[in-house]
Amino acid sequence: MTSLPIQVYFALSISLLAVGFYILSVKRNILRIILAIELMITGANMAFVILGYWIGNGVVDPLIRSIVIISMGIASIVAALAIAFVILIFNKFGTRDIRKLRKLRW
Amino acid sequence: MIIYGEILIWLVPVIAALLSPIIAHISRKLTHAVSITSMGISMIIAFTMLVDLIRGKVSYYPGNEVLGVIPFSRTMTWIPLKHIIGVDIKFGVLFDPLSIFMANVVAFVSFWIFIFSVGYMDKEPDIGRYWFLMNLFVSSMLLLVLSSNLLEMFITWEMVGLCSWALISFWYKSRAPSPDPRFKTEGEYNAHCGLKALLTTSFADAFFLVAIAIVGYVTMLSMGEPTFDFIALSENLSWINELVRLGILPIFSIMLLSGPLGKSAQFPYQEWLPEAMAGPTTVSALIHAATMVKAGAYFVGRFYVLIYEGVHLYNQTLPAGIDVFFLIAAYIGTFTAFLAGTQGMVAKELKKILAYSTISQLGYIFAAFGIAGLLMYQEAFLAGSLHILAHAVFKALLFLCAGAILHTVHTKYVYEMGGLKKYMPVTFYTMLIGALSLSGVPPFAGFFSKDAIIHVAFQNPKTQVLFIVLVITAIITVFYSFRMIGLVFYGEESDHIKKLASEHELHDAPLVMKVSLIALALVTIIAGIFFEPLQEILEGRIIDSSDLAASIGEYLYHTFISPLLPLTIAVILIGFLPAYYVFIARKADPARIVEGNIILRGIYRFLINRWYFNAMYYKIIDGVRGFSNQLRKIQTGLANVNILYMLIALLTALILLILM
Repeated sequence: MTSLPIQVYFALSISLLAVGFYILSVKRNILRIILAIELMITGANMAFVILGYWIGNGVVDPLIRSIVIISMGIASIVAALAIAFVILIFNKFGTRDIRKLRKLRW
Repeated sequence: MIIYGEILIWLVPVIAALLSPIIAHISRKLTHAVSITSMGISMIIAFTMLVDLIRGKVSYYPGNEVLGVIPFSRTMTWIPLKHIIGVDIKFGVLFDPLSIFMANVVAFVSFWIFIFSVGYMDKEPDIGRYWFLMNLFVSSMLLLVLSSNLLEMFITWEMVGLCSWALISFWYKSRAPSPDPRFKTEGEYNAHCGLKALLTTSFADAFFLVAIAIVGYVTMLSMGEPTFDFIALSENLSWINELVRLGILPIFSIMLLSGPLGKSAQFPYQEWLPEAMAGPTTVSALIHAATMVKAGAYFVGRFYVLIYEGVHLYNQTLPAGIDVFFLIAAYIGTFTAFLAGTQGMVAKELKKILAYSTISQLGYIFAAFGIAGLLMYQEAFLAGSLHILAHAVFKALLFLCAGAILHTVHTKYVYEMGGLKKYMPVTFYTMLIGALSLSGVPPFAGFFSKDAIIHVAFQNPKTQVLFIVLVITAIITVFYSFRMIGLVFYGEESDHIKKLASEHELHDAPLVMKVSLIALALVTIIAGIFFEPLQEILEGRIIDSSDLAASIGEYLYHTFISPLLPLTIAVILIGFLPAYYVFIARKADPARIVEGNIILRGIYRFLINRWYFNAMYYKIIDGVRGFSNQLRKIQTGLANVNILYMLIALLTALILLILM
């Protein structure tokens, strides 16, 4: 497989991180923020895979592959938990705006 | 000493502390019994240590005897950090005359306060928490006086502070109206007082910790390995020369002294102690007599012993310049004695009068230890140590008497008392003994020690200024002691007392409280006889029992027939007569005297506002709080903004990385 230079994949990974960062710092909707976190995790995983390919001489290093798979599993668990929180918060407070959820009180 | 006594002495109260919240659910009486038994065991162990010291030999295990007059310690490695910070944190127990003497004072006085607590806290619902904290408080203090190195001492030092915080604000749930208009309920006020004590002492301790770190640094420079062990520091005084070489000895001295000054409520940290009266009276007694405030004085004494033994036991030259530590201690102690004494003259609450007198008497102790170190003068050290003992006993007695009075009359203002003599005879006579001892009237315990302190200040031309101030303070002490006695026990009964007397019979303290009052009063009366052997023990000499009686007689004779005897009599009379005229015989109205004279009125206002120190401190605190409130605004709690901060920090780190 003739591949693009490695820098292109890195640029994609970093742009995923940047988009995630942008959403985290600007958007107020909790769902969007969770999606942004997922995006950032994807970007980080991607960087891992690229590096694994780089040191693996044609194949992705198996250790790194397993780490990335674990990471993806954890990310999905985090997302599931976070969305469960969102549902609870929405039921309780009737809002998805994090600016309105500033107080750690009930 | 019994086997493992050095561990059991503080471990038994800890076990009692852990047990008491559980036992409190089963039986109140059992909780009292467990705590008093544990304290009794500690007292007995402390006493066996003293007996060993008198015999001149300390034996831990059969056949393993050590000469008791030379200080030594038993240590073990507690946290092995040799590879990380270059020093293992040791945990150990130091045996020398001073530590065993202090352990005895603490255990003995605490024991009687514990017995008094049974009567005083009889209606307290939360007895498990009370005994937990009290036991932990005393065991921390016992471990503090017995600790073998600075770090261990610092840890127990903070444990004492933490327990005092919890005990001062013990009644934080109280719904009664607050004595201070800034708070809604008395509970809030109590919590504020506890926090004030904790914050003031912790602020002081921050400097203390820095000084301890400096000790580690300079010992690493001078001995090749950081050490905090008292004996190691004493055996090799070259670390002080290292401080001099680095030119930080004065700053180091101030920092090292800061911790003791905070703990002992000396200037400029004196303001927490009067507020610490918010807790139960038994707690006040414990804080003032046995634990907490004595820790500071003990540390100055310990530091003096460290230097003294380095010079005389390990034959080194006295490091030049270390007298600055003791110079500051002596002057601050003397000034605080005067400062607090003047405030005690006008205080309106019974326990506050006693609180000011504690600050004042601790000033005497600091002055004595300061003079001792300034001139390497063993007499002054002995006088200060004996004043620790005498003060512990009579101040515990006075506070317990105050507790008995408060328990009966349900008011803390002295102007709402009066005429209590006929209702509470036992409390009256024991409190009178305490007040006489506080005033330094012979032959009570306070006379011997205070007279000795004034005497050492008098003997040396360098300390004449201190001598004058200390004598003036002694006059003030006599005045406020008898003012207190007069206002509480003599004169007309106030409306409040009349109301109480008509509603139900005003009664003297219950039997269990009387027992400890009488025990402490007896000790106050006869303690003077034991001062001569105690002096020998503190000097590390083995007592020769054959001519003990002769030496005691000689000591008593010398103390009574000293060149200062006319001065003592004059001091007592000058202080006593106005107090008698105004407050006991009630020939004049103090309010009218003060109102009629513009100078007196000004002085009164100055003193009742506590020299404006308290207000000034609150101003500073409010300023800091205003600044913090401004700074708090950057802490928005918004996730978006926090992410932005993270981004900024990452970019800054990146830029720094590129630049480097």
